Amino acid sequence: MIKVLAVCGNGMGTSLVIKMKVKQFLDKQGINASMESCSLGEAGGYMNQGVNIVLCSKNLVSNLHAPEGVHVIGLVNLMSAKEFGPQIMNVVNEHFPGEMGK
Amino acid sequence: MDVVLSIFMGFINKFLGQPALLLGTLTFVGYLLLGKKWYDSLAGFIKTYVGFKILQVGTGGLVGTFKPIITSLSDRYGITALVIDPYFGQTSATETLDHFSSLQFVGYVMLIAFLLNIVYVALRKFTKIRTLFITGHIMYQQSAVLLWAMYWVIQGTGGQPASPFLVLVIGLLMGTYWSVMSNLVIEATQEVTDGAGFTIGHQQMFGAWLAYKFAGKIGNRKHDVNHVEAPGFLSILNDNVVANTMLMTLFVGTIMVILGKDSFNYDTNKYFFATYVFEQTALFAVYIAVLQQGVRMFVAELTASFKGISDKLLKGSVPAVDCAVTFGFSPNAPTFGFMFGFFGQMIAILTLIVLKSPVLIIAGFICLFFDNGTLAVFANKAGGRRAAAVIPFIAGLIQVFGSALVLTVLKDGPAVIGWMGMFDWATLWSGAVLLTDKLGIIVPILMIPLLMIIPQFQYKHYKETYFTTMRDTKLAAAE
Repeated sequence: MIKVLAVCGNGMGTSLVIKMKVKQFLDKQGINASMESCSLGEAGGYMNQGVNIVLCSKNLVSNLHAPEGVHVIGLVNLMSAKEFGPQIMNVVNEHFPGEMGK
Repeated sequence: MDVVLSIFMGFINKFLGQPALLLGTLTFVGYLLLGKKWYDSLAGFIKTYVGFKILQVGTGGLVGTFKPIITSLSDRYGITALVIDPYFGQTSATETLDHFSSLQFVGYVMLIAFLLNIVYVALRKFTKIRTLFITGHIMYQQSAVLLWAMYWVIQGTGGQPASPFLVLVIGLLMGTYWSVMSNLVIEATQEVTDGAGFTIGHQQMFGAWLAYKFAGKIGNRKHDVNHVEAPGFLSILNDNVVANTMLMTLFVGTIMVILGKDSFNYDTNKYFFATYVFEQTALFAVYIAVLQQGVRMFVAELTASFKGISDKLLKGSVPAVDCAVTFGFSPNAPTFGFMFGFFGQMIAILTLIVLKSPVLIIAGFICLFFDNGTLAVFANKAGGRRAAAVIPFIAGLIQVFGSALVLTVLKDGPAVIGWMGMFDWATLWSGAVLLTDKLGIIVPILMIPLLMIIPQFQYKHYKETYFTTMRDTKLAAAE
């Protein structure tokens, strides 16, 4: 199972919206994944616990300090599956081909 | 007959009268209606319940930390110091309502408002409302704060629980505000986000609309703020724990130092005064983090449940979401907004001190960053960097003065530590509460039809694209 994390500044509204949108997308693609959302301040802790993909606004990417092996996807339009969809699929195809649904 | 009645009343008081149980039940029923398994629904109930209890640990801790400092300052100098930050407003609201056995009514206000929003969209042919508010933490926060403020100015001194009629009126007014203002700011949000298909459902919808409308007169949209290099150290403000602690150390720390070490009971074997002050001010960040953990837990469940219901009932409404979703479209603007909003608020606070105002305002992080950040994003789109500086600066002044005014009538409640401060709450709602204080419940009642006139004008203005914008965005939202 892939672990996906949605991050925003305060961890309240925006990351929850990303989480709902992305979860919808992952389910539709049949990708075996779990999703969490949190604030930037908490992201470090999550990322050390085996998160595979992190999604956040582009301007937060430089604050994340993601450890090696965590794939960070920075977005402009957090609501757009057109934007995050292909990027997630690239990471999944390349690194987690076993989690792809039929 | 009496037995049935007493069982029924017991159920009302001891079950539906308990806010955590009520919200948990809402989630549970919502999940069942969505066809979720009984055990998933049960998990939703538990997480809502536990989340709400965690939230109360946070709000209790905030009041417990801050109230002694406020009391000490007010005993010594006759000044009431209050924080303008939504979590301080929310805490004042829920702790005060709880004191008068009225906290559970917040759940009813939220439910009435949400259902009314659905009805407005379903009848969009007549109401011209296209948007559905799904920002769960804001819905809870606003329902709590509006009910508290109106309760306090209408009934507060009697000490009775909020009347059912008041709860109904506030629910209808809240739902009307969500619908009308998120709908008002659609066109501007579409511009800001290049037609991303959502609108803002937050605390400064009216403010963002104003910012977009007037920014063109202040600056030139070609001088985009995103062409300016922002100082690197400001990026630590993106982390709420760091920012909360720094601001509270600066402001509350100053107050504690002015009060002097003799005003506080602390173990001088364990602390220097400075480390004690830092521990106390850092506790604000601690309790805000606890509070947010609780809100996130119960709001995630409640929002999923609400959203599921609305998806079933309504196809093609535009979702109204958190303001920070726009930040990605204009990465420099929020920092710009923060800086100039900060200058504005500081000047306003100094003015309050010079004028010897009975209410002293302490700047809060959420209001400074997210409110002025959003205004800067909208201002920048229409008026470039100049507007993104001038408008948050003016907003900073308004946030402080508007909040100080409304707090003069609210500050004597049992657990008041602050007010929202966000733009709409320093203007529209501050004014509404002050007017209601003078004229009574007729003000919130009249506001409902008055607000509903706004989308009619908007429809006249955008007639050709009014509902097609919505159809496009429907596609965008459903992609």
